[in-house]
Amino acid sequence: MSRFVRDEKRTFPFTWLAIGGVLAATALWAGYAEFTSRVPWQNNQQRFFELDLELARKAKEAAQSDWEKASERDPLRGKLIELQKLEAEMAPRADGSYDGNTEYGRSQNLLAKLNADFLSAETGKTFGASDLDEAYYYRNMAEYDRDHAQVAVRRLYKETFAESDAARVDEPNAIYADPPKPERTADQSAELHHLVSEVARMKAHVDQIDKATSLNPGPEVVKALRASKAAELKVVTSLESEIQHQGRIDQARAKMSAIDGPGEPMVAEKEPAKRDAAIEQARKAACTGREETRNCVKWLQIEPADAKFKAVSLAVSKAKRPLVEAEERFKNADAKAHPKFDPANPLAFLIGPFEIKQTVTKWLDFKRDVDIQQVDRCETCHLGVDKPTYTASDVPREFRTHPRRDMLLASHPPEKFGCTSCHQGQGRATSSEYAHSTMNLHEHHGDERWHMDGDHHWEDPLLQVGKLEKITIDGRNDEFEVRVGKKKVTVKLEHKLYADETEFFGELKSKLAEALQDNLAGFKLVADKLDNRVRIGLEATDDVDAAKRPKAIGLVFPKQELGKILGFIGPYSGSNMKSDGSLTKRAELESPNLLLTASNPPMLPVRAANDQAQGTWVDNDKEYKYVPPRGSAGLQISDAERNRFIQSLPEVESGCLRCHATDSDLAPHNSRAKFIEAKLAYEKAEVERAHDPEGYRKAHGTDELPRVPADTIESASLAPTLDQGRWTFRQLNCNGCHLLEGYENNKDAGPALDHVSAKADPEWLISWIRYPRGFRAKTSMPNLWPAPIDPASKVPYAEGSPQHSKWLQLRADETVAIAAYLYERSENPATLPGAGKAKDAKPLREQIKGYADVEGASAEHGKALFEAYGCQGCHANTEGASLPDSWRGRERDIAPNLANVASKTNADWLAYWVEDPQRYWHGTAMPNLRLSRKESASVAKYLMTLKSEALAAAPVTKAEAELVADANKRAELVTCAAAGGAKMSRVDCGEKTIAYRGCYGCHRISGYENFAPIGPELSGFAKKDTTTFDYGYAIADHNLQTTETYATLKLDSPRIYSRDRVELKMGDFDLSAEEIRALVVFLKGTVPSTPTAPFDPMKNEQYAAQAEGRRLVNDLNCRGCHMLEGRGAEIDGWRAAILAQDGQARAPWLDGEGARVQPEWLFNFLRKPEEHGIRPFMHPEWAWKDEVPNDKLALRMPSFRQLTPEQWTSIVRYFSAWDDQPYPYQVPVANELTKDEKLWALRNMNSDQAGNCQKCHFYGEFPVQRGLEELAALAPNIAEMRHRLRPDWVREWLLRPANYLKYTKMPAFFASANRPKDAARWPDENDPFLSPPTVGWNEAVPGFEKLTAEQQATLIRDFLYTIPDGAPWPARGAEDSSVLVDPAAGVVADQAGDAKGDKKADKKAPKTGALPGPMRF
Amino acid sequence: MAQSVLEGSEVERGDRSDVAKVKERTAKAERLSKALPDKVHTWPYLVRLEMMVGTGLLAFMTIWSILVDAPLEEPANPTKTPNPSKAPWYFLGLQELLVYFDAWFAGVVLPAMIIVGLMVIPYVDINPKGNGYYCFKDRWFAVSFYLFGFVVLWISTVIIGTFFRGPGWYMFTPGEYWDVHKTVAITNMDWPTKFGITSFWPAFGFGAASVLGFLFGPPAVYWKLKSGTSTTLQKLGAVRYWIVAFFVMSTAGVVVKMILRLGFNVKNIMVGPMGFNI
Repeated sequence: MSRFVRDEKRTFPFTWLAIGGVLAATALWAGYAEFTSRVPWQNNQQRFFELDLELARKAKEAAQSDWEKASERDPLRGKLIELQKLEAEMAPRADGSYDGNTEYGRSQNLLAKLNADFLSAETGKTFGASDLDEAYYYRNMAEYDRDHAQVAVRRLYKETFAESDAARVDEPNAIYADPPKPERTADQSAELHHLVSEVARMKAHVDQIDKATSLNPGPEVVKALRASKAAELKVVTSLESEIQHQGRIDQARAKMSAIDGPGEPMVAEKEPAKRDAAIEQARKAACTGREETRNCVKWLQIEPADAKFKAVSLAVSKAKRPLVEAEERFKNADAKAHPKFDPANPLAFLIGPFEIKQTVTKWLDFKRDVDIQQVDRCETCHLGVDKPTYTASDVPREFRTHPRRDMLLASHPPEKFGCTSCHQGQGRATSSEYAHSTMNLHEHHGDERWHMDGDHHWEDPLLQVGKLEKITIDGRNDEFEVRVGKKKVTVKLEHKLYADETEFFGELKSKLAEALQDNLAGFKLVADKLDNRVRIGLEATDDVDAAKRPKAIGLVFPKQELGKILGFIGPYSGSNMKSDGSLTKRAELESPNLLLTASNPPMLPVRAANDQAQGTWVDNDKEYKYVPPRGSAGLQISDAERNRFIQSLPEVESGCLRCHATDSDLAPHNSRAKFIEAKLAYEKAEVERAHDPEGYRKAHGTDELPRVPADTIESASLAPTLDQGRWTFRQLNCNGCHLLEGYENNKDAGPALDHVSAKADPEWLISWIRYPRGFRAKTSMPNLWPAPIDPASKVPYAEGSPQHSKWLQLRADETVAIAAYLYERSENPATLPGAGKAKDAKPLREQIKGYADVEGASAEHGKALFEAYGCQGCHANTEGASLPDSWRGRERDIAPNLANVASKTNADWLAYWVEDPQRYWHGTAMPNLRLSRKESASVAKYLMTLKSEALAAAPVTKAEAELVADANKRAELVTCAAAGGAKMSRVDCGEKTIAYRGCYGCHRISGYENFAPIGPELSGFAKKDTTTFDYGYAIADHNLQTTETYATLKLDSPRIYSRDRVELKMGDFDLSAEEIRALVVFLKGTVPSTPTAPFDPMKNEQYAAQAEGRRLVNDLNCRGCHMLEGRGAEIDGWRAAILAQDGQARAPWLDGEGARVQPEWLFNFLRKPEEHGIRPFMHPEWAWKDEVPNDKLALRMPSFRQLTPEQWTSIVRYFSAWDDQPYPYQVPVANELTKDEKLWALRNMNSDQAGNCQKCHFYGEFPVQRGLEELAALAPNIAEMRHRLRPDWVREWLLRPANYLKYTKMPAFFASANRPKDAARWPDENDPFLSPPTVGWNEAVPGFEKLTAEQQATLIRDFLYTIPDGAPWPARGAEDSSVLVDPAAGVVADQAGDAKGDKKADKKAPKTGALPGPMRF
Repeated sequence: MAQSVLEGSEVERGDRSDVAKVKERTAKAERLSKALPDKVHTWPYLVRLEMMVGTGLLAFMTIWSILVDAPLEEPANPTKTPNPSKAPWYFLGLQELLVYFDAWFAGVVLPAMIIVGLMVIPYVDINPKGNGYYCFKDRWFAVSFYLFGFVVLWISTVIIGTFFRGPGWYMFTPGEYWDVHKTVAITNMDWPTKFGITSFWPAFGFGAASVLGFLFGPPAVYWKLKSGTSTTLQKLGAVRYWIVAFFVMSTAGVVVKMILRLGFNVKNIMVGPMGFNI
């Protein structure tokens, strides 16, 4: 038993020690944790610093070796040797003297001696000046006394003689009279002369005082006179001292000047080049005989030698600069990667160079109620994102430069936008797992399941870049062809299931390497994924002479599916895709790399669930073909593929939608103008440098050529999947039922239905409502009664099962009821809600009876009209056809396919409709083609020949049709499911059913104007809590219940989530896998937070106006006929035969339209195309009036009368902005031409040796006779030109028309054939493409023999812009007396006069900010 | 004093057979009584012990906070209500009571009764051994009642609320997935309905009688039986007795209501006018 110890005696030493020790250790641990394990980002930064150091080291070594290589070659080697020699000669010795054996050394030594002499003389002068100052002080004192003495004398004289002898009062004047100044002798300085004359003056005073004293003026006066004399003598003494010192100074000065030598000679020469030589000459002359003076030694010996040394040394320094910079960079990188201990700042050493980089952005959240600040620390680790130098593929991904930095980060600088604005993710987090919280697909006990990595509370997980996983390579997608140089090799991939990207790309690369092994010299093979775009190609290394490398690489995908997987084939093909599906890349200006980057994100093929069962897609060589709609067969995307389909969604594109909600697509918002300009600058520099390297260096300060940025066309779309989703969303008018902020509810997505009985008979109407795709494969109208699906098997219930029968009955009842309602209303227009009773008492069907029966109308004529007028720009007329090159038409018709239109409607309605579509349906997108009644009837007759088989998918019985057609049967009482089983008439039930099914979301039906959409709102859908989604019985595993799976299944099979008691209404659009993918990406972008003003692109007026114009251009399908932004002219696919005959008989290409025409003209033209026709060959009606023969019919620009002026304005602005043109635009005033110039232009235009413009063009009134004879050869009206075109463009056009419209028949009169399109951006004097003058043009008028082709073109252009309105064109030979040459001869006010008037007016008028004054071109 | 108590207890136990043992114990007690002072100073002898414990606790808390991060979630989103929406853990016991009682009762009356009950203690505590001596034997009633109220009722409801209540405030066994769509078939009935009384006033009367009967019946019976014999009850007096009895029965009542709800699907015992339900 231990001894009991009293409490007072116990001290617990070991307990204290233990607890204290634990506490101390804990404290240390906490500190350590705070600086190490809790700051994982520091490790990343350290890694980046190390990487940077490594790169800097490499750069330094490269610079070092470059330097060494260069220093062994001339000219640098010579410069170095010279520098060395000069340094040896010119360096001073340790004592500061120079080597006396060299000329320079002698001069320097002499200069040193002269400097020493000069200094000693200068010292003498300084001392003299100092003494002089002292003497001057005493003189001043003496002069003061002297002046007082003089005053005393004058006063005494006055006092003494004022009364006695007035004449003597003035005697002092004589006494103090100054003698004349002595002459200055040659050796006297001005100062000395002054002093000497002062002495003489004083001495004269003394003599005169003596004289006055001798006259005995009285004792008082004499006394004063004596004092005065003494004072004067005192001054003299001081002056003499001054004279002595001044003498010293003068002597020193003379010495200094002798040492200095001649002064800078004056040179009159002004011209810089000659001035230097003149100065040199003058200096030499001045120095003759005085070489050993300071200035002369400097001018003649030292300065030239120094200049020479400086030049050599500068050249060497410049050559060495890269090395010095690389060393500096290395030093900085080293200091960051391995900080040295600095005793002055120990804390910095302890903490290191680490810092958190933070950006704060502001957003409006939750429907503009809450202002949220978003904190971004992503760049703490992603240090290389906004720096251009970390692009190499061996830089770790996390440190790499942001893909497409030049395009994306230039418009979204990270310091303003941060990263999470686009990418989402937890911006505050500084550890990898939390920052990147994201949904991932995991294998778990052999099952795939979604799993949230990182912080599962975070509401904005990082948006994913799609992943390729489990790629099955089989007979459908196993090979492609690579062309390098002239060689073609086929790359065949092994058939197997590739588990992930790494494996797949590894295989791709090794197979490519195998195939290309002969072509790899000087190249590194690349096959990887960067920025979610696959790159395949060759990266140049510098092992091999560049000349020996192949210059181009091409890829061909005979098996399209592989092209789709890799992203080379998809919605966007990019500009380098040829029509045969091959891509080519040529070596670029600067970079010899041959890298092909896909335009689309990679995607996995999705094969229908029943593929395997049918055995069609098993490993064989069956070709890929378009699969017709399947009519709601249950899930199309099979279970096995759904998850990896979702996993490969390029969701990161959704991030764009947050700000670009109302853009139509995310292609760059201007043309290639910047790229072209940079390219031209590059070419120009190349020419300049080759011509005069010295001059180039002087002008640019470098030998390097300017950089050329990325070509915008290369990346036509930045978010193709999102764009496709947005387009699909709008085309299917999803917002007819689902509200979404920023997307208007378009009630005109489908035709107006108020007068439907005029258009369709009951049988067709019922069957169409029942299953639209049965009639038209690519319609946007959904199937509102998809077959009910068995949740267990996820395919529809078997036919004959109770569920199936019940559904069939419901579908039959509801479709008949809807048709009955529509029929009732259109048969009795007076019953239409809101219609006046008396109005339209007769149904439209009866009103238009016989509309198509017009005399002379024929189906043959109709066919000709249909094919000529451009109907096929939007409408296909053969079964199954989609428009040739339209990606947007691939999945859905942009306008109905008319292959079976006769099965649907009747001739009367068709004639009535095409004559004026807005009359039947005001909101239609179909334009008015300005058809005459007869033409409409012909078209209708033609269309009635387009018939097809009876509808099989949703058969309608005669009895059912009768229920709708017969008014009595329409009024029968039925049990109405949409009204909860109530009894009511068939028509009333139809009304309820329309309300229940939401037909009014897309169609205008009277009475439903104010009904709310039936679907849930989609704003903020992406941020909805997944627990608020009802997954029905479809997805039981909660791990799979994600937003993506919800949306994908819902879109794939809209009724999949029905429960026994939960009925769903969404129609089945039979979406393809691509459409689903695109829509899911779109939906993932519907976040509730909106940008504040600085982030909102739509706050930029120019951008917004243009976005609106661009949307309209897409919606109205302008690309059906026109080429825009490098895509379009889809109608050409139908018109190959016509174009083969006459290449220009097409809708004009509109690339560059903004730079071509004046906005005002464009606006007027678009509003009324019929009044502003341009090209006679497009207007046969000018010649033939109403009787155009079938074979002369031409494409016709329709009138879009439904557009408002505001909408047209935005289209005009779109054209301007796309071509980088300022808006608003003011036409510059024409140059004033002399009479001779005008005469020259006019004669040349008339001469058949020169322009002979009238051969094709006409002037003024349209020449009907010529039109009848040679319409196809006729060209636009010259008189109209200056109101339509921009002067800059006209000159370019004249120089080489094919640059602008490659199909034009306009000959190139002036420039050489290879003149590039934008050459004229160069000023004439240094235009390297300047062409020789065109023969035969210069002789027209004497004095114009020496014009270049460009000047000729300019003169013609200027002349065209001075033609007054209405002036007659002179006949050949009568040019001299024309009004066009001499306005005085005519009555019309000329343009020059107008211009002057404008100018005056402009001076008076206050300037508005937006409009600059008139400019001359 | 201490000695006599020890002695007395040994004697009272009546273990007289082993005299030697008793003697030894007596001797030990004597030694102890000499060695042990009656009192020691708080400073430094108590304070340094407290300091020691405090230091150890500080070390423990530091280690804990290094190893386990605070369970912080995303920034609050005013448009998104989490399911389940839970109070801070220390209030989950009260929140749990909301399952069994109306809000006014679980949220206002019961907490108020807890506070009032604690305030009442000094006035009803007549046990003189309450000052400085905390043996269970001396204060079995007070300690038991406290442990029942705090550990059984308060702590266990906190545990239930924290770990067993998931989305929809349904019961989830540990490890079970918190399915937000979980539905549980519960149909509760009022106490009078169980007996077929459905009209309002009779039901109210029956319910009120049940509540009052439960609250006051057993104490009355106990008083009747024991007030004559128990000195404690006599010392306590009727007023104090009824106050204590009211709080004790109320506490027991909460448990009874929980049992009735969970085991017999009883919704309310008493359904009164204007939502005056218990």
